[in-house]
This record gives sequence, structure tokens and C-alpha cells, in this order.
Amino acid sequence: MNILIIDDHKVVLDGISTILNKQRNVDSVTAANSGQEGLNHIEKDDFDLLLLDINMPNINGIEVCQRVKKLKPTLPILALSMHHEPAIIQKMIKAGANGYLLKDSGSDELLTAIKSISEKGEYFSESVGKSMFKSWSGLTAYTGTPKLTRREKEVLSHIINEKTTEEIGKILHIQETTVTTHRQNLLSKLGARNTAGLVRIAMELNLLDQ
Amino acid sequence: MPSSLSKIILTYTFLLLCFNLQAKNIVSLDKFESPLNVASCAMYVDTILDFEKVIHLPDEAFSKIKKRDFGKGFMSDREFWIKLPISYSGNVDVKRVLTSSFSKIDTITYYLTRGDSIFQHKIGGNSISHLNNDYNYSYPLFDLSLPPNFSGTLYIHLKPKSFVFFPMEFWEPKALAFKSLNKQFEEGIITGILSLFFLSVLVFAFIFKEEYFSFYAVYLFTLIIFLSNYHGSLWSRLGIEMSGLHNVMFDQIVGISFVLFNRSFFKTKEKYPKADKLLLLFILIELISFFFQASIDTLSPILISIKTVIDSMNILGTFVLNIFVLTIAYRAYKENKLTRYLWIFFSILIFFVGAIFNNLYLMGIYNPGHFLNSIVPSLIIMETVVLFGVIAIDYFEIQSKKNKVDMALALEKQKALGNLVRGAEQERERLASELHDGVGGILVALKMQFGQFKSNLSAEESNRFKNLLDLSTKEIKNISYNLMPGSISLTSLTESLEQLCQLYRTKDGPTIEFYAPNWNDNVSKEHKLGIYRIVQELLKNTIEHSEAKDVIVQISKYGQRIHLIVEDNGIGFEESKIQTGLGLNNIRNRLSYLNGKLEIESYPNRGTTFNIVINLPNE
Repeated sequence: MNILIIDDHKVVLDGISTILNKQRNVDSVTAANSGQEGLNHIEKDDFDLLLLDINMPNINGIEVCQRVKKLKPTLPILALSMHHEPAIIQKMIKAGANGYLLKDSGSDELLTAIKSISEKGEYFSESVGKSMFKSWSGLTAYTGTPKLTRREKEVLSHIINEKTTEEIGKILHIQETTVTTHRQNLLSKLGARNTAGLVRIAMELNLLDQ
Repeated sequence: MPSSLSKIILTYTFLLLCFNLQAKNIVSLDKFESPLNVASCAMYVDTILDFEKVIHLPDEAFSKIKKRDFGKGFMSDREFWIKLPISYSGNVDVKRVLTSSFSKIDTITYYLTRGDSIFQHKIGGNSISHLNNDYNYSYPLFDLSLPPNFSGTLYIHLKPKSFVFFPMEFWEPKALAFKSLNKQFEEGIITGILSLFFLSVLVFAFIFKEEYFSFYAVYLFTLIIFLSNYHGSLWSRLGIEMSGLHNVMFDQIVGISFVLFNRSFFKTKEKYPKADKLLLLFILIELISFFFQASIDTLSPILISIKTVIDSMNILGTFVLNIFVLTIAYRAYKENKLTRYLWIFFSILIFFVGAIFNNLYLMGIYNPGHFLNSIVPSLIIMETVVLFGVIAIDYFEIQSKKNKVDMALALEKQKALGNLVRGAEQERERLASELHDGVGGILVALKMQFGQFKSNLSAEESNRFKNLLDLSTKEIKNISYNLMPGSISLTSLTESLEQLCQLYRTKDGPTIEFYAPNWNDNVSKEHKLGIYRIVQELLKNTIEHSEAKDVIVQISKYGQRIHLIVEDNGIGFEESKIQTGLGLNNIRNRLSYLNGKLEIESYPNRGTTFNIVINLPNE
């Protein structure tokens, strides 16, 4: 098994290389200090696994991941990061990472992850799973009907009453550009294409009675 | 009311009161007039208290004249005596007896007699030309130096050079009354004009904090007193005894208040400390002479000589003070090259010329016949218009400059605060990355390698080490996240914000909905972090204080304009808190360098809307 590690921190590179080199099924470990260096290796040689750090100067891990997926779509990528923020994990997965491992998990989990990726094609550590679960849990209370702000409701009711942008601005003492902003936000939030659609959806959903 | 103004007005009121009391001792019109109430031929007597006073002559003199020809006047070549029985208490100082009606009279002699003895006598006869509207006169002039508490007879002996024309109006009481009315009217107009200026300056002094407005108001006040009393006819018409404020002495007070005003306007105390001390010295001299003159009630030779000395000091003081102030104005103009100082210079010059004329008038060298034609009041009005104009312009210029400076300062301050926030943010970012990547990286390596060695340790030992390592990495992750969320540079702003909202969602807390109806992530990292922090602050506040059930966070971007809304349906908050508390200052500082504006609408028990508009720099 040929493994490439991309990480801008030498200590991490050394630490991981040491562990991996001791593994029987690992044939070679290549270390790259930056995203660009890593990409050069990938273009030249074939690897069985890429361990990819996210937080790196110049080209960050997410970008490297996207580029690698174009160069070698089949190369499995295990993201290695200190970040436990769901937004970053999601982004990495969207970019094509096959697994996400928090760096502070320890050597055991690293080996487990490598094994899991080479066998099942994916790996997510327990803590990543938790983080993601919380983010996707029902707490968002998304009802399907978008909630409107007070101003949006006012603007909407005036639109329904056939007032022009100029008139609405005068009634609400706000600039016309602001009215336009509210109108476009309304269209976007309610998924309408024009004023007629806006009025229809507003009626259907009883938005003004909220 | 500015305290300086009230102090000055109080001082002046006190001075005026003192002077008025004193003046009552000096002279009493009625006492002087009553023994002389025989009508007809008249002559002008210029007294200390009344510029124009008709002294009626006794029958005897009248009958002599009456026999002559009349018409518009009469001619006479005869010398004759006028006998005036007089009796008064207190002091009478009849400075100049202007016998206009007896022009071309060679000599006038007066005798003051008591019983059979001649008390004193004096021969006048300094001819002075005086151009009046109607006639060109040349008349002799003399002073009546009357002793206090006198009762006796005044004989006046008139000796014409040739035939003299005695015009009707000078001895016709009706004509005199009319003339007097004219003067009242004129005095009234001038006093009125000055009062208008005075009132405007008083309003200025009340509204604005500039000290010199107060001094100017006082100066105008003294001018009004001075001018309304220039001939005395206005006040006597109104039946008010103002004789004590007659210009003979009050011009000193006018002068002093003028100098005090200039002193305040040019800030001589700070700018020209040497000149300022001299100014104060001369003001002191003027004040002493004022009090001295006001307190003299006998005319012993010694006092008269002292009075002469003080009078000349007073005149000298007037000149020196005026020249001083002129020099200061000129210096201020030279130093600052501001036209308004030149105008002030002119106004002082006008004042100076007025003061010279006034002194000439007091010395009897110059006598204005017709009031409006007289130079002193016209000069004063001129001076007032110029000075008032300059001060008003000056004030508003200074104010607008001040406003500009204030605005610039406020902007500068906000910029500085913004920079501070920005600097702090950069430092936090640096710290976060050092911690996260540096120390964090080392810990990670340590942990990885620890796994290799843990077979050498007992289970308990290895657990303890592992726990310590876990704890330290966890701490570092949390600290660095708080310092700078990694998602700011790694993900889009909307993803970071969604994650932020998610962080604040709890089972018992409000629902938090995040909308990004129109968004592209073409925003600098600085803006992203700024907006992230703002939303973080607002969400924290809302959750801690608002008791809301629902919160909406919404961000949209149209062109280079970001519109951010954080809205809740909680209890709202009070107006006063909007401005100060709740960490809004932090947000405002951030917005200042992001070129953004925060508007807050809060309704009690209905909730609060934070509206933020950020204008991105044009690409």
C-alpha cells in the first residue's frame, strides 16, 4: 500500500510517517509539505491512499481534494484535521473526501480509518458522526414554510395591495433600493419567479396571518 | 445663563445704582428750576444733567427785550442785565453756558451775589463757531462754577458787539418743545436700534458658550444707557430720572466695557499676557476716575484740581486704551491674516473716533446741534453694525469649523476603534493558527507516537497519559475555535453562519432559522469574520436577554450591498439600552471599518429587529 500524506506541519508528517512505516501492509509513505507538492506527487505516481490535512496555506485541503478528485477520481482520500466544525466537515465531504478523521484521535483510530477506507471505501470517526448528527438533527425546526421578517410581511402586504415600489418606500419611510431588496428576498425565500407568483404563494400559505 | 454674563451684569447694576444715588446728591432739576419760573427769553444752558435746558428769564429782562421789535426775532445793540434769583440745595455743576441766543455778544459776565456781597464772578467770551441747520452762530462760552447749597441772585451781563439778531425759536417756548420732541424721537430710534442688537447678542450669549458674547452684550447695554441719555430728553420725557447716567461720566463705563469685550474677544490673557496686564491697569485707572468723579460733591479748589488731574488721566486713558486695543486687533490680523480681525480693527477705529469726538464734546470744543447729524451716535451705530456683523460671521465660521473638526474627530475615533478591532482580530487569528497548527500539531504527533509506546506502560499509566493528551488537544481546539473559527477561511460565510445558528440551537431555546435568499461568497475574509462576529454577538444577546420564541437570521447580497437581519419576537428592549448596553458598541466599531450601518427597531413584547447594511468596496 502506497500512502501519500499532505500536511504543512513537519511534526505531524513525521509522527504519522513513523506510525505508518511500522505497518506491515504499508509499502511506502510519501510526505508532502504543501498542497502543491502533494498534487505534483499525485500527477507523477500512483497512490492507494491520500491522507490530507485541511488547514494549509496557499491551497487548502478542500481545494486539493477537489483537484485530486479530477486528477485521480478513484484515489481514496482521508481528511485529517483538527477542525470539528460541521461546516468544514460537510464541505470536505462535498469536495469528495472518503473519510474524515480528527487529528487528535490517536494512532489506533488512524489505523482503523485506513483499514476501513481501503475495505469499505469510507470512514467517519465517532466524534465526526456526532458533530454531523447534531447539525442535521431535528432542532432546526424547519417547517417547510419560510418565516418572514416583520419588514418582509409589511412589504408583502403592500405588494398584495398593488402598491408600487416607490409607494411602499414612501409608506414605510425606507429607500426604494431597500424595498427592492425586500421584494427580491421575498421572491427568493418563497421560490416565486415574479410578483404574481409571490402573491399566489403568499395567499396559499397564509403568510400574512402568521 | 453663562455665569460670566450674570456676574458682569450684576456688577454693572450695582455700579449704576451707586452712581444714581450719588447723582441725586449732585443735582436736582426741580430745585434748580423752581425759583426761575418766569417765562420768555431763553438761553441754552448745558448742564451736567440735561443737555438742553431752558432757563427762563425773569420779567425784568423779558420786558426789556419785549419793547423791541419782534417778528422772526429781534435785533439789539444794547447791553443788558439778566437777573436770576436762584436757590438750590446740594450741588449744581453747570459746565458750559452756551448763550447761543446771544451770539455776537462781546462779553458775558456773571455775578453771583448773596445779600450785598458778590460771591464770585467770571468773565466769559471765548467765541466758538457753531454750524447749525439754520444759523451760523458764534457764541461765547463760560462755565458756571456754582457752590453747593446756594441761595442768592445770579446776574448776567451781556454786551453785544453790534446789532445782534435774536431768533424767535430760541426764546419761543413752543419751538423749543418741538425741538426737544425731535430729540426724544431721535434718541428713541437710536436706543431702539441698539436694543435690537443688544437683544440678539443676549440671545447669542444665552445659547452659545462663547464668553465674548456676554461681554459684547454688556458693552451694548452700556452704549444704550449712554446714548439714550446723550441729550437726556428721552428719559426726562418718560419721567425717569436718568441724569445720573449722563455721558459725562458714563462714557468711561462704555469705554471699559468696550475694552473688556475686546480683551475677551482677542483672548489677550492667553495670547498677549503683557498687553493684557497694561489693559487691566488702565481699566483700573478709568474705574478709579469714574468713582472719584461720581463721589465728588463739593468743589473745593483742591478737589477741583484733583478732578482736573483725573479728567486728564481719563482722557489719556481713553486714548491709550483705544490705541492698545487697536494694536492688539492689528497684531491679531497680522498673525492670523483673517479679514474679520481687520474689520474689528475698523470698528475699534470708529469707536476711537467716536471717543475723540465725545471728549471734544465734553470739553466743549465740539457741540452737535442736531442729534442725528451729530457724529458720536452715528459713529456708534456704525461701529455696532460692523462689530455685530463681524462677530456674528466670526462665530458662525468658528462653529462650522468646530462642527467639521468634531465630525472629523468622531470619524477618526471610530476609525481608530475599528482599527483596534481589526488589529485584535488579526492577532486572534494569528494566535489561533499558532495554537491550532503549531501546538496542536505537536500534540497530534505526540499522541500518534504515544500509541506506539503505550505497550511499554502499564494500563493505568497509559490511560493517564492518554487522558492528559486528550484534554490538552480538546482545550486547544476549543480555544482556537473561539479565537477564530476555522470555517471562516475554509467555508462560505453562509455555511459558517448556518453552523453558528446551529451552535445556538438548543432544545429549550428559541428556534433559529437562517436564510440566505441571495448570496454569493465574493466577500473578503475580513468582512466574513466581521459579519460572523456580529451575528455571534447578536445571537448571544438575543438568546440571553430577549426571551424570544423564534429568531430569524437572514443575509442577502445585492451588488455590493449586504443586508443582514437578526430578528426575534421576544420582549424587546428599552430605548436607552439600545444606545449603550448589550455590546452594541462592539458591533458599531466593527461596522465602522466594514463601512456598515446598524439600525435597531424594538417593540415592547413584540421583539427586536437588528438591521445591518454593509456596503462592500467597489471592485
